Amino acid sequence: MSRGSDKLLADLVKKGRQASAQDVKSALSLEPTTEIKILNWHPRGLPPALLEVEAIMETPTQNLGSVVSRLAQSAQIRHINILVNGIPIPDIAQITVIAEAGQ
Amino acid sequence: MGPTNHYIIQIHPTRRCNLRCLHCYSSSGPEERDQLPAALLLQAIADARDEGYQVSSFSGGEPILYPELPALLKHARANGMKTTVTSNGMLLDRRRLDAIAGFVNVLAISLDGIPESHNRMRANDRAFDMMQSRLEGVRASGIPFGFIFTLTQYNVNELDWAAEFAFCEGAKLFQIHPLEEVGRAANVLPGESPDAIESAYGFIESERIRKVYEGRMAVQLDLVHSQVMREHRERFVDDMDAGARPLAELVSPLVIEPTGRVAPFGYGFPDAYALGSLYSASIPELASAWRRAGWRRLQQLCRTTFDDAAAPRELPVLNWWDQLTHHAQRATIGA
Repeated sequence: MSRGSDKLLADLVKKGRQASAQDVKSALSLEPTTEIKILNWHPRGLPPALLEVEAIMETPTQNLGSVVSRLAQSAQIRHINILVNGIPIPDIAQITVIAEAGQ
Repeated sequence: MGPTNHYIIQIHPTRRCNLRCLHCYSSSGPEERDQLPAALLLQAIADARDEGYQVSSFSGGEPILYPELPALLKHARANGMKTTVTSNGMLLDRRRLDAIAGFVNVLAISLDGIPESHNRMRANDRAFDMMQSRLEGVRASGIPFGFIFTLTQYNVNELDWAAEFAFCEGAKLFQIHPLEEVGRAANVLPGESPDAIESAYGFIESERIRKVYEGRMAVQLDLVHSQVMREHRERFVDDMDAGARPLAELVSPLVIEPTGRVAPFGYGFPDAYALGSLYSASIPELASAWRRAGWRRLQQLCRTTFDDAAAPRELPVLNWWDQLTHHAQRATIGA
């Protein structure tokens, strides 16, 4: 007989669906209309009660202040890393953010 | 002493039961006839109240089959105690419910997962259907009720279903109790109590379920995180002298078994820690003698168990009562 936890995880995989970019925006407390491009994301942790989201996003530098300010208001955000780049003018901000459980 | 919110006396008036469940800690069944006289229990309840106990909790066997259960419940309530009854639910007909309605604070009905799992554990193909058929009557009786789910090595995946079933049926409480390999369970289900991994999953699942039903159905898990233990040592270990303190402050739950044996914490707890038999002395008399020697032994057991259980570990969720029992058995064998 299989462990209950093995069956639990198998059930979660069957029931689960991939998170969409909108799901990630919602998890990061960003408005759906925020001008931001989500490049990549990883939901982590099982069961979903322990979900942690790591996302890499891009936004024009003129939006950086409002986006970071929005992220900083969320109690679940535990990591923000910002890299400004762009050739010839550094006009793109790449933000890596990790949101903890509950998002 | 014991990590419960109330001082509880757990009374098992009979080992008679309509079922022969695989996980039964008291090895109860239809053929069993161990039963305590009502007069003895009426006195024990009054004595327990005087010793500080606040809750009379009736289990078995199937306590509904004990003819004087209504009288015991009334008596406990008349003594200012709260009451709980644990039942497999199959025999809760109108007549029996009417007899106890108004005297029960919580009726706890056993539920061991999806119907197939429930029936396997109950060793009866009709156990789930019959139990479910009684729920309408239970709701009509007005008795607040909940469900008790026995967590095993194999069923944490059924918690979600069981909680939803409990909520949809109108339960106010969903209690998750880990299987303890005592009584029949020790022989029939060896190795089926949840290990550290399954306990950790049970802990996480129960937290998730608690959030889902917050404010609508209470979710209780009878497991503890070792960090919580470290932060609240005083709830697990009592370093004070027994003195003239009420017995309830020293031991909760206190268990009265169908043989009359009075023991701390759980059914079948090793004899070395027991207070004695109700057939030989009343609770105050047993307590008086036990305070002189038994208390020290129990204190030491709790300290040893705590030091072991509360140590930081990779998988930190455990069953305190089970740990106590194992340490007590080890100490008894070693003595």
